[in-house]
Amino acid sequence: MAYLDPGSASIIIQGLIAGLVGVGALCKLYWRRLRTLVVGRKTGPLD
Amino acid sequence: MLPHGREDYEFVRDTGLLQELQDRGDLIRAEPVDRDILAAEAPDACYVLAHPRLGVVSFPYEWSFPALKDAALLQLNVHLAALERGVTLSDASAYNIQFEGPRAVFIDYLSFGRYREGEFWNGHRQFCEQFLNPLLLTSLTGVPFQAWYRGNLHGISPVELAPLLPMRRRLSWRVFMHVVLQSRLQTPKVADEATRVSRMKLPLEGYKRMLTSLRDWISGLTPSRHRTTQWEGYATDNTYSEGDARRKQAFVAEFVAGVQPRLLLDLGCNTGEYSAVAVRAGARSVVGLEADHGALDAAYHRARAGGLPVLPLYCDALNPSPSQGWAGRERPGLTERLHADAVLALALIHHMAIAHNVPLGQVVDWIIDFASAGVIEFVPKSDPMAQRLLQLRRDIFADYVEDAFLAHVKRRAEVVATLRLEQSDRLLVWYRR
Repeated sequence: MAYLDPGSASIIIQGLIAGLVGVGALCKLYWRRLRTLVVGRKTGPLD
Repeated sequence: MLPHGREDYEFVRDTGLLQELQDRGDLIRAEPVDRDILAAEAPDACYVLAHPRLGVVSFPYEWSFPALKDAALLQLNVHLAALERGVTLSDASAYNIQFEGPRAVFIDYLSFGRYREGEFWNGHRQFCEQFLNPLLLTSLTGVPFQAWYRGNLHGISPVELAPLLPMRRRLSWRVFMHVVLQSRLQTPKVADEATRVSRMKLPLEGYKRMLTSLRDWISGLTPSRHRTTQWEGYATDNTYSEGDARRKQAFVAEFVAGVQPRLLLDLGCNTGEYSAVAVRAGARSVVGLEADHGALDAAYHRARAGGLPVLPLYCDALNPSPSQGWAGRERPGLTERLHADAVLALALIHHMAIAHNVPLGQVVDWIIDFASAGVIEFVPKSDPMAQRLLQLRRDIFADYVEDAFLAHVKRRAEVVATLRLEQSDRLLVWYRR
């Protein structure tokens, strides 16, 4: 009955919250994005 | 209920969940009735459920901040109660919630289905877009969510919200997880990773923890203090003397007692003072319309606190929500959904006629079209509130006079009674058409 597209980002986040995705693995995958975010680049898409 | 939903419905019904939620008042009551009544429209139906008719159908972009917040909490509570009984919700649409007075109630029986061990929360993204993000927009930036929500019926996506949040807010871990990270990860590159993760099992405890953590977070959200509000203090800061205020209330009460409306519409309801007067005088239910967010929130809180059958909705009288959505008909316009027996338009028409240049006759017609009986207050130009509207502009409103107002009313209806407020020279007119 699930007719809704849950969205891939939502799945990853749920996995993160439930600890299914290793934090280390995620950091490796998205380290550059996170770093850009934290240092505060404000404009322009990141992808 | 069509055949493909039959198994889920029977399973959910037999868990006792529907009964429990109905008893709590969280789910609209609905009973199976003879299938033949829909034989023409749905010949395949295996069940037909009938529910009591709602006083008015409203949409999330018409709700106040505290109303959307209550709806979000209801959505989470219903979902948590469902999981306790091995049931889940297939979506998280704010349109599955309606209001009876100021009480949120879940209406969609088709959202319930059997929970399968390890499954993910399909409605997470939708919950964020339709509940969480609009609340965060108003709570963290002070921007009202209603206009944006009305422009995009799916709500506010994480991709749109994230760049608007101040850096300090983005680093709060809950904002980071549900908004920032979700917006960054919504890319095709992540899809493969998501597919891999989705084959894993989300433990039920983790699922519930996600819902309870969102519930705790949302419970503490309030509208930003920076938000502008003009009329919130109006009930205490106005041009009436105490005697005039009492006489105005008595006049409105007499009108309501005389008409005994099933649904009274309070146009420009402000903080809901006269909606409450109307309920005490015998109105079965009231819908208030108000464009000032501070006043609207206060009206909602007043109704909640007093247990009054009053639903204040966001509406700019000059631009009520239109008919929109799929084929332009999915979400009918607000005025089409209001079937009122009585209308109040107190301290309203000078805003429309003077501040917004609507011809006085059109304002009167617009009000009288709502209901066959009503009370309209005429505020003369000499009134300090009208003067305030005129102080920075040229007075081009030669026709805005009491005689013209009365002539417009009499063109459409009969005047039952009038009340002159002595101090301010305002005139209240009770009409019947």
